[in-house]
Amino acid sequence: MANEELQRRSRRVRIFWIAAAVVIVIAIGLSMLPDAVDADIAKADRGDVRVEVVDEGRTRMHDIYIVSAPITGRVLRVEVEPGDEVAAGAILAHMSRAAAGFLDTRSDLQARAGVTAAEAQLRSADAELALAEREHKRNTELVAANLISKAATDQSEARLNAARAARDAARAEVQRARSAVLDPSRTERGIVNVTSPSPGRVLRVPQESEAVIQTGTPAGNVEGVDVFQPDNESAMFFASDTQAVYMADIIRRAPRSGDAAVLGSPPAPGTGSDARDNSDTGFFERVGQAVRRTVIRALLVVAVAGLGLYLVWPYLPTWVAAPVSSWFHKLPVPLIDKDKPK
Amino acid sequence: MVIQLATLDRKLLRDLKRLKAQAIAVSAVLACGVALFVMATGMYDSLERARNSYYDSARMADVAVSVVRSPDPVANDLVELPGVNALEARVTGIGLLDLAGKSDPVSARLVSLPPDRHPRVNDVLLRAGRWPDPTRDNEVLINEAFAEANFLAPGVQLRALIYGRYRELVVVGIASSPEFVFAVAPGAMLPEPERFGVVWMGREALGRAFDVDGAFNDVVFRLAPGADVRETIFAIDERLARHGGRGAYGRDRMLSAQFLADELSSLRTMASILPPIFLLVAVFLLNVSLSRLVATERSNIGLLKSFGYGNVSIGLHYGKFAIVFALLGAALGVLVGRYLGGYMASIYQKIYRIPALAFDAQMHVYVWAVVVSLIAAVLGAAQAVLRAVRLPPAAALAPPAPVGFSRLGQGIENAARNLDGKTRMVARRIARFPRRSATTVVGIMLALALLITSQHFPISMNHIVDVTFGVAQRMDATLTFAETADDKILAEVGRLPGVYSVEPLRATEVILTAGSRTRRDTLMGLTEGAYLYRLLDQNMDAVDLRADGITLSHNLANKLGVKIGDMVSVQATDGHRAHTDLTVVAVVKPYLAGAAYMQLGAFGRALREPGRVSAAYVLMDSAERDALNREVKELPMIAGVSFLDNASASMRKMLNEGSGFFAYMFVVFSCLMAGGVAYSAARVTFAEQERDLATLRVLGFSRREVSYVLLAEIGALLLVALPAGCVLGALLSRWLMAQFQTELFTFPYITESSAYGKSALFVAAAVVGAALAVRRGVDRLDLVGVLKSRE
Repeated sequence: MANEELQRRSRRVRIFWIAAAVVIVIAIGLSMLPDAVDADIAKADRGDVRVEVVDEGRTRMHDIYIVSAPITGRVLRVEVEPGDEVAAGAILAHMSRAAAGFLDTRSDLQARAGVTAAEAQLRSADAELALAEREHKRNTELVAANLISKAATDQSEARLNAARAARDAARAEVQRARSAVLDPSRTERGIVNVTSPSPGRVLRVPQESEAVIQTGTPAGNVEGVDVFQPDNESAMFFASDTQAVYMADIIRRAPRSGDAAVLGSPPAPGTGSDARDNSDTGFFERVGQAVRRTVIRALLVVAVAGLGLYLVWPYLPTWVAAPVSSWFHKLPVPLIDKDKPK
Repeated sequence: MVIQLATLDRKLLRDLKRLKAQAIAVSAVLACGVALFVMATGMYDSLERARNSYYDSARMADVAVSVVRSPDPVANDLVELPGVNALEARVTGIGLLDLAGKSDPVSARLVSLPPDRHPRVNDVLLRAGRWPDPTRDNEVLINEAFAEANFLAPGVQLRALIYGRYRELVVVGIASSPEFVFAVAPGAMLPEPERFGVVWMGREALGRAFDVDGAFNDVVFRLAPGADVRETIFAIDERLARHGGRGAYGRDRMLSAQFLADELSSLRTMASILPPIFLLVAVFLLNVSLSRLVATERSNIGLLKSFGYGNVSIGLHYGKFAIVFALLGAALGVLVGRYLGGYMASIYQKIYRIPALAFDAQMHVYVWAVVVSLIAAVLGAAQAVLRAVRLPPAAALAPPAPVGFSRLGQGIENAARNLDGKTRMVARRIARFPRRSATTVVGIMLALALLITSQHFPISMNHIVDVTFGVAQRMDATLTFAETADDKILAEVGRLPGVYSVEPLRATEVILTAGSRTRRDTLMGLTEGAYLYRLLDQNMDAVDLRADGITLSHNLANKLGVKIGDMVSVQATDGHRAHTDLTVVAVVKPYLAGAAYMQLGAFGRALREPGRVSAAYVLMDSAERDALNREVKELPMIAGVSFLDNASASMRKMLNEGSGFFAYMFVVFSCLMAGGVAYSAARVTFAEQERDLATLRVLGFSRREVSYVLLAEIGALLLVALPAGCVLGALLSRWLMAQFQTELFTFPYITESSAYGKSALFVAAAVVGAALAVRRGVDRLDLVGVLKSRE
């Protein structure tokens, strides 16, 4: 056999062994690479920060106005409902005068007798007036003819005026007496508006239907500005400056790549308190497991871990990689630019 | 006859001296198997006996029941029930302890001691200090594990929050009880002795503290021998129903007993699976070594036979080799096994508080160890011995016929033609002795597979912990309420310092019935879209609990014999004791503690107690932890706080207890096995080819070239064995994980490529090391001797 042929075979065998050794070494080496581990991956996004604190609270009103009836009278149907918002001076209700009441028989007879008496008085006053008029007229003519002194006219004029007054009084007395026997069914004109003293909301309408009410009876409550006031002092209003404070409290500092971001969760139904954060600085949505051991452990990491460095092995099929000190960690999500997701 | 045997025995000793390296290799593999056997069987034996004797001497309860409140005289009725031998009516409850210098609150189970200090059931053993004085209300005993973990000694003062009121307690003694061999806080999965303790105090004082003066709220029973547990439970439930009995249960629902039973079953699994693998390899090794011995002794056998030794004597002679190997292996194995067992017992002592728990294998374990190794040896030796016996003296005296390679198929020859001369020698040998090659390959494969499998345990443990405490449970803390509370309490919890988010849990013990099967288990109500505590399915996706039925764990569904769509009847054991029929809408496979699950709202409706919660999961700012702890200690409604990091750390600690040692043990055992196999194979090759190799040297081949002929064979077999071993390892570990599944744990098959890489590296190193050790023989080849003619 040719020496050359032998050498060729020998080379082939050597190549086989070398290849086998290389394959084994590579296989073992590859297997030593850390496995990718399931991780919750949240995409960091940019957007507005919204921090809410939801807490159980009690509503309190400041400045409750009780709107009372300014007159005794008939309140017409109240059109506002509890909860309606009203401006200052807005009309809450209309009131009209109360109708006259019925009289009992005696009072009725008395009243009717009073009417008769008053009418008699009136007739008497009319007669007096007519007499005074005639006397004054005669005196005036006589004075014009210079038959009597002017003093006589003055006296008669005075008597005439007195008689007129007496007649008017008697007429009025008739009116008064008649009014006492007025027909109760007769309605009167004249509406009074009840207005809101302040802007606010209607809390309660004690009398919704038409009714006659006394002066001072509450016609409706109007409170001032309604305020959501949580019990707890640590809770906050939805005001912009406190929002910043709260945000700072939860976030504490701007996140950096590789930070552990501890996050709020979506509000659990039926729970009293949630905090939810969406960050504009590009982090957190959820708490979850991080990718662990996406660094090359074996030799390299031991060397560099102390320096806080880490190596990301480019071959690993995950796009989130972060150094983790313990076996699992709360979401060290690196910042990933939204525009260029890998 | 005596002289004859003596002669042969002298030869035996001489041969053994010559074969000592091989003897060590075979015995070592055998010893590994025996050691594992002794360790696992002996530990099983010791643990079981220690448990049983402790249970008997301390009168461990067979049945237990808790009631809302039952007047003392009822106990007299209970003792009359058929099957009940003795009972102890007690007052128990949960309290919070405030330990000086400890921020995290500690929960404690408070158990009453009868005035005469000796409970008739679940006896308390005083380990240190003295018994509490019955006239002093504030003297208590605490359990041993808790005392050790928190460095508490008799004389220490404890501040306890019991039923909403603070009490100053004085520890006067340390005790242990069979009931708390394994003390687990309510709602927890594993013991955390730093954060959970048992406190025994006077019955009267505790009764007053829990407002059950003149009554009891817990009874433990010891049954008469042969009593029917189910019937007794039924009778007890019937008697206690009107006092708010929560349903009696047997030892299968006592966590401590359950854990012990689980441990015993996994020990038994270990004892039945691992040793046979080593023994099998030892059998093959013995076979190869003895066959080789018989082959080299060929002419001697002929001589012996012509000197008149009978077949029996010859057979016995070679059988004795096997017996010596077996005894050597057994002796070594027993020693190592005892050592390993002792170590294992020390780990168990840390976990299980059983007095007198030591590795104390009984004689039968050792006898079995020897018998098993003898059987292995006989099996391995049988073929070689038979061949020695059958060899006709005349044929034996003649030199052996040269090994014919022509029998090899044309295919191999064609393939070999492309190889250079030395490699062709190797290829021919491998193909010519397929059984021997196969033995080597199988031995290395098994060693590799075993090592891979051993690495899968920590991997899956870590995986379980990672998943449980990373994916499934994401809360920072769990607050357990003293009793089920209105869900308004969640708002209160939400206002505790540092709390970001709160999620409710409602858990209650229910009795599930399907057909004739009944199980008592925990029913958990979780909110829809729960985020902090999620139920995961096999793919680790969160399961959304459905409101229209009940979700069962795989274990529970199997026990009840139900599948999706079947109906189960659910009976609550507390509150209204509502009874309802529910459809099984899903079956899930959680890793830890399977139970039944329902959507919280549906749970409330089904049990006619809507809006109730029994615990809250909390996500919080860790910087506020101390502040939270301070506030929680003042809240009477909160019976316990457990922080996830503590729980995961203690779980990891428990699971990894001793795992480093065992990992090391497996590396050593597997390397011994792989190395032993490789060494034997190389030795045999070397012995058979000694002459040929020396001839090659004489012909001018270099040492390197000659060594190549020797090493390439092992190398080629290793090349086959490595990938095959990895495949076998994958299969074996998958199978074994399924075998180790217990009631409390489901082992997932989780794999990591580094397990394969590392194992392959170790095994390859062992094989290469063994082969190199044999190769040194090449340096010592007797070139002159070879040149002499054989005759």
